[in-house]
Amino acid sequence: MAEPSSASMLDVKHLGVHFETPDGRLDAVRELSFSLSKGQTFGIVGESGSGKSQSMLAILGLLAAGGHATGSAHFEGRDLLRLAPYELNRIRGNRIAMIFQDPMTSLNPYLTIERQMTEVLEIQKNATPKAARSRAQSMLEAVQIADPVRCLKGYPHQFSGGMRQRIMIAMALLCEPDLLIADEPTTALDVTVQAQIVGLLRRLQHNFGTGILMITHDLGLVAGLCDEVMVMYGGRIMEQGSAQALFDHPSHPYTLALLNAAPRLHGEQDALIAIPGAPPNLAQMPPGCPFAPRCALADARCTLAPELAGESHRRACHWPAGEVSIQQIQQIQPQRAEAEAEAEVEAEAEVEAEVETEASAGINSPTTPLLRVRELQVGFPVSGGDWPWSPSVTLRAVRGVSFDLEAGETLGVVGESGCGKSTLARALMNLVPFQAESLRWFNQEMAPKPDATANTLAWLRVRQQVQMVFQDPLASLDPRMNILQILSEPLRTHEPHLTAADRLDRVCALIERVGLDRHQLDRYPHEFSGGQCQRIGIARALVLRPRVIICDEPVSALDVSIQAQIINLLRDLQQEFGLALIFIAHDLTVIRHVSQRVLVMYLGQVVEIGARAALFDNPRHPYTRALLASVPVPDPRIERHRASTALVGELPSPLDPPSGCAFRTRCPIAQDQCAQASPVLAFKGGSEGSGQTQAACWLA
Amino acid sequence: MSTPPSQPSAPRSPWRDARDRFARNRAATVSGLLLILITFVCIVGPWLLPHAFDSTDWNAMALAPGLTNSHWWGTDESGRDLLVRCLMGGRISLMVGILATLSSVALGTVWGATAGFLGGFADQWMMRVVDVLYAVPYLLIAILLVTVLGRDFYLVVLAITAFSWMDMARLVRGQALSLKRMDYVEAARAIGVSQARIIATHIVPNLLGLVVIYTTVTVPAVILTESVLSFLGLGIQEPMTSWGVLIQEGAQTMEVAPWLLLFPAALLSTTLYCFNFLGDGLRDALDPKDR
Repeated sequence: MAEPSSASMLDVKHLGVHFETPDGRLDAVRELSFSLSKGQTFGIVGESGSGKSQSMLAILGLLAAGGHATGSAHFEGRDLLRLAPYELNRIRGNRIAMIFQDPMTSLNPYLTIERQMTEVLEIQKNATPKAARSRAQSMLEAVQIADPVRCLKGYPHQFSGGMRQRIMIAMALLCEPDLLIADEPTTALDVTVQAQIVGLLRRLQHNFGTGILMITHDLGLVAGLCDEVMVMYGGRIMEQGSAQALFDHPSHPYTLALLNAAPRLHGEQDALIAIPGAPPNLAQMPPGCPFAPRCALADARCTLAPELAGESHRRACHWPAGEVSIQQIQQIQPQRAEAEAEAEVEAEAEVEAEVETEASAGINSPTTPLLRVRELQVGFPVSGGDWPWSPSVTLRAVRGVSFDLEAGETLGVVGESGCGKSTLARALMNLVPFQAESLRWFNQEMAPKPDATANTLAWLRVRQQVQMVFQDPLASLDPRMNILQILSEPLRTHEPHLTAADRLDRVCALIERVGLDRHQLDRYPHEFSGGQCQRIGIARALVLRPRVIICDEPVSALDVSIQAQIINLLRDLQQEFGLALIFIAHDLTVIRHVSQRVLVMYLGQVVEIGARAALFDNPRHPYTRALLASVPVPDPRIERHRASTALVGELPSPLDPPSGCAFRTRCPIAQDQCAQASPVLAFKGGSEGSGQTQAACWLA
Repeated sequence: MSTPPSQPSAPRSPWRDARDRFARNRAATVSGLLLILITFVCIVGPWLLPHAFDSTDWNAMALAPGLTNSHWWGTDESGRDLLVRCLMGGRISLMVGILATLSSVALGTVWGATAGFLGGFADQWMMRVVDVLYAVPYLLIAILLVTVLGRDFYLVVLAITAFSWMDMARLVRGQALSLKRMDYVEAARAIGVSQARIIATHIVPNLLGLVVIYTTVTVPAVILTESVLSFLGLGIQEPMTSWGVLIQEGAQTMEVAPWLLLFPAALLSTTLYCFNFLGDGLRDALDPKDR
């Protein structure tokens, strides 16, 4: 274990956090030791349930009721765990500041920014209101808020997520703390805004010399920002070392698995190497290594908790560092999977045969696209002013989108939040009112409003052949229905002639295909983990044997290891059932991994569309380029020397989009002509070919 | 599957789960049994007891309760047996309470759920109807109803229903408005489930917690409303009685004959407690998260 150097500012030793609950004692954190020196950036990485947030709350004395901390956490010589509350209050917000994940809930909606910022100074530094105000103003300037005076007068809801997180950072830095604890500071933000915030943190640390303790699930983020990285799982340290060493020579099976479970922006990946199983359940922890139940290399020795060994690069695993590699994990894992798969092969063959007969009996020739959309528009009326009688204005969420979907392909739709990608999905299913020059599902023109009976029947047929998978797996399942009822609902609706026994057979065949057990059919959604709920959601989408599935951010609410399981499952099912997918996501790496063609949206419009390889290797539109440049890569060398290509500014309001090209306000190459007229999608830089994308830009 | 699923063991139905959860709640089970007992005694008791509810015992006027004679709960100032009158009153009160509550809850839930789920013009129109009815003074209407149609037990139920369903409708509408934005409702729409079925299978079951709780509040309110109507001469008339009427009469002679207040009041409050525990138990039983 590394000796705490004289320069160490925070020195945590044998920190344990447990909760006394009616069901017994839950250990959230065990034997956590690390030290952080002045001005250092320390990253703690882990999935949900790893104890990374609880350990920080314990250090700050902010544990929820029933939580107890043991061990010690010395901050500049004083043990934070043994300080009286009033002494802690002197340190919290003054010497140690915090930024939380959701900038909306951590700001009080009823107070102005000025009130909230000056309050800290008046309490901690006894500043006069005037001094506090000017200090707040200069801090807002430091976090690059364009108009600090106006900002101070505003209320939290008047700012975007990125702006609020800047304000939170400014507020945290007001008292010039020695240590800044950032708990998932960019998780709720878009990738371009995340890049801005990370750049900001890096610069602030350089200017103020603040130590940063960064808690995140994103290995890419840590690679760029942190000097020292610690990987946690199930409340224990798995591996710790300098960022360079950890990313160059990851030697714990969990770190390796985590690095390989995430899709990448470069290079080829066939299937993601998913980590089997579910995230750790604190109530049922294995006696030894917490990762053992999901570890490909686990053997008898793993029932004893391994010691955290090593000098600067520490790891807790029985296997010698040289013997753990991803190839090894990969070799073992498929063997296990194969054994399971064999049992399913016959069932699959059966289903496939049925699918084929259905497909050959289909009405469409293979050349007609499954879906043809031309100039799709969606508008929502919103109140236009401060008064009830102010005329309402239309928020145009989708502004003229056109594309085709071919049978069996995956079309990725990507864009930042507010770009209209989810609204587009809902319009395709007639879940929101829309206008369109043409919307043809399966070669049949669909009217937007289901007023005529014939139309309703047509939509009913579409809803049989096209299914949706939603973002929040738990929220999309009725909490009062058991799994059998949930999975039977599509059958009851579209195949009412089936008996209860028929339905049970269909559901049983499917539930095992998505990796769940038929004995779980009488359970309720809340009894399942997020990944399992998403499997149920996918099973519900498949039970009617549809031809198209629209996936609206299906993996963005899941941990990285679970995300890989779901992506692999969707991929397998697509091949097996010959499905076409519309895959909506904000994560470019996921889109790159699953899609054959990609559509990039910005402010309700398509800015670029094309084959995956062309779009990712040779993007034409400046927005696509900026998006790609903003994605953090889990390699410190790339991240450290990344040119600051981050987009400036925020998404303009969709109520008042810029004239001409909507992107021109944030575009690095915008010129006068961009404000004049809006560009149309066209092949750029030569003739039409497979290596080309269509981009809507005057200058590309 | 190499061997086709050999009739997989049918999963437990949600109703059985609910019954199991209810049975585990002792307070609710006991309350339910006690309510059944009270109802049974009210129905059967008056036939078995030696006194009629409207006959006067000239030898025992305003007799205090005791086991020495056949008037165990004493008599009122007219010499009528209190026990029999309490049981007869229980018939009326329980009937009014249950009938009026059920009908107003059913009407209010359906109205509110439909308005909330449909939204837009239908919602506006349906809630304006509720607003208009709120503005009508209910005693006036009750008096008019009785004057025009004459005195009738079912008229009392009707009058109470007509003026108690609006609260329910408003509560339910608010809840339905938020429920219809839930992802699982959107998911059902995307599957193609019809509007009526979505209301029946997704909206109403998820409203049940609210409805059950509100129902247990409505039962006592309805029982008391009946006594107000009776007091005004619109409801139950002498010599017929109800718990509300008995309590009102008992309150007037509290100083001289406290038993005339205590016995019916004890019966009424026991019943109301039981309804409350039963409601809590039902709410928890119907919520699968409460395992």
